[in-house]
Amino acid sequence: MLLVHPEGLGSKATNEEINISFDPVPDYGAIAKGAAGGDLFTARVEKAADLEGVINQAIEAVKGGQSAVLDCKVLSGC
Amino acid sequence: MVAMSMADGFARLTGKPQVVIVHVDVGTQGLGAAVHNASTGRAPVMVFAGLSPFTLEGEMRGSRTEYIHWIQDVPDQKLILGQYCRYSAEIKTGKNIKQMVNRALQFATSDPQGPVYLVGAREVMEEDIEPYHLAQDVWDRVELGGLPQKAVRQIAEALVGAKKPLLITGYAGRNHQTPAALVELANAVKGLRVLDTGGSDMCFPASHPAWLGLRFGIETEIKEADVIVIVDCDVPWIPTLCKPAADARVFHIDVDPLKQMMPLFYVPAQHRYRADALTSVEQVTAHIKTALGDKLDAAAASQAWDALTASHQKRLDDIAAKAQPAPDGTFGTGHLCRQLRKLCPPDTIWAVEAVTNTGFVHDNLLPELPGSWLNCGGGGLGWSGGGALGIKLASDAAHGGPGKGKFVVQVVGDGTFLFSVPGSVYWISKRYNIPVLTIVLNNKGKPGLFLSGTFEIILSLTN
Repeated sequence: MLLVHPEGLGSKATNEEINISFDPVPDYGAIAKGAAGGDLFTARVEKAADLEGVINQAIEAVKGGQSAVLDCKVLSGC
Repeated sequence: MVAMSMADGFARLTGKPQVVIVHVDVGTQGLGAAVHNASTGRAPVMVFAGLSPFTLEGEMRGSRTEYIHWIQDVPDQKLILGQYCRYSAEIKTGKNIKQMVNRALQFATSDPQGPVYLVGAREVMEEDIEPYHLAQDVWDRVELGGLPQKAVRQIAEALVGAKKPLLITGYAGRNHQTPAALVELANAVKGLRVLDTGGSDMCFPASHPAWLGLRFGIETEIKEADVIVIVDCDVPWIPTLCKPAADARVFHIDVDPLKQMMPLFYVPAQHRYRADALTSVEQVTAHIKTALGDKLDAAAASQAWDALTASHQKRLDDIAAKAQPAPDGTFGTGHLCRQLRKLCPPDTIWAVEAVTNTGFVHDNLLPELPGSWLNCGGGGLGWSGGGALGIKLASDAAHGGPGKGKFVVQVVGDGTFLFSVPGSVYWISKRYNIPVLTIVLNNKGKPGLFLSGTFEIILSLTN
């Protein structure tokens, strides 16, 4: 939309107004864990300092035979 | 969607056709965008579905016995998938069913590969037949050849004589031997750069000085190149945003150079060939080494190589600088992927469906090994849930059984995660012991949906 009309109506609307926002955010890990009958590793991570620990835990879970879902809050554009 | 995405992922990694069995018209419709993906991204998948029984008074075994047989009777069920399939047909008797299946598989596995659809009514499936045997060695796929000799000379000479040669590919890495052949070519033509504009396969190692990474149709090198060789690629550039110089020489080598599935496609190539990428690249490299050895200016080549190495290092440094966390400790996809690369096994297979974040993923995972990066090559978001499972199943099978294959990680956007039908994906994962790591890029859905909802908008990352 913005590529064709960079200054158009779409550029002035919020994501909520055009119904493309995922706010409130669903709990993606919980969706997956429920489907696996509770047998799934899940975690949320927002800070860089927490990344290594959480990723390592998830890797161990998967190597041990259990799927893992990491919900990572990421900035846009980088 | 999930079953066909699994079949797609398995087939995509192994090259071996896979089969999905679904229930009449409604099950076929449940395949969803996975059909688009298998067609657009060239995966050999056979879909089989039954048809409602065609008798209703018990005339034959299999005649209608349920309410739903009336409701699921449709005029031409093949039409649901028809335009996406390389072949679709109805099995009308059990007596030549093996030949029908073989024919369908030949279409699925012959370039350009893709989905095929077979249907059969219940009475046909219930038919008694005499067991029979086919010699399977006469049913192989069509083999694609290389370049005509004239083309080998023209392309080799053009590359060697170019000031800024560029090779653009999308899916050459589907054949895991091709990246090494591209490296050989880049070593023979010092100064050649390689750009991936597909994002569906690992095509060229990030550590090589010729690597330009993955960009969806916008890159300075395209505008500056005087010779461009396009190899197995659907969208080499987006003309409204970026195009080659008017006097650039363009060669196009592809399993499908006219893009038989796209009503609109054209590329201003002076020469185009339907040919196997690996064979063609090897032919050109061999010709350069044997016939053009004395045309290669060693001093110029050395200079070009030094310039290439310097700009490659700068590219890597710029990527690293952009992937730093923010001062408040928050981070972007780039930093996240850098950490994943560091911590996951080096031979991890990445199933990536990151939409607008794909460039950041590719820049920081820096794929190095053939077969280590997969995407469906199509626009049907949701592939990567089933796709990752199929890839893990395939890797385990290839290495001796459950748990013995490579580590598989799915990197997926938040909206796309929902499209993958996680309710099915993670039940299947648990039920069939297919453990994968899923990384959800949670940015509340923006900016992917905002700009255009398809992954062409990754242009925002390239500048």
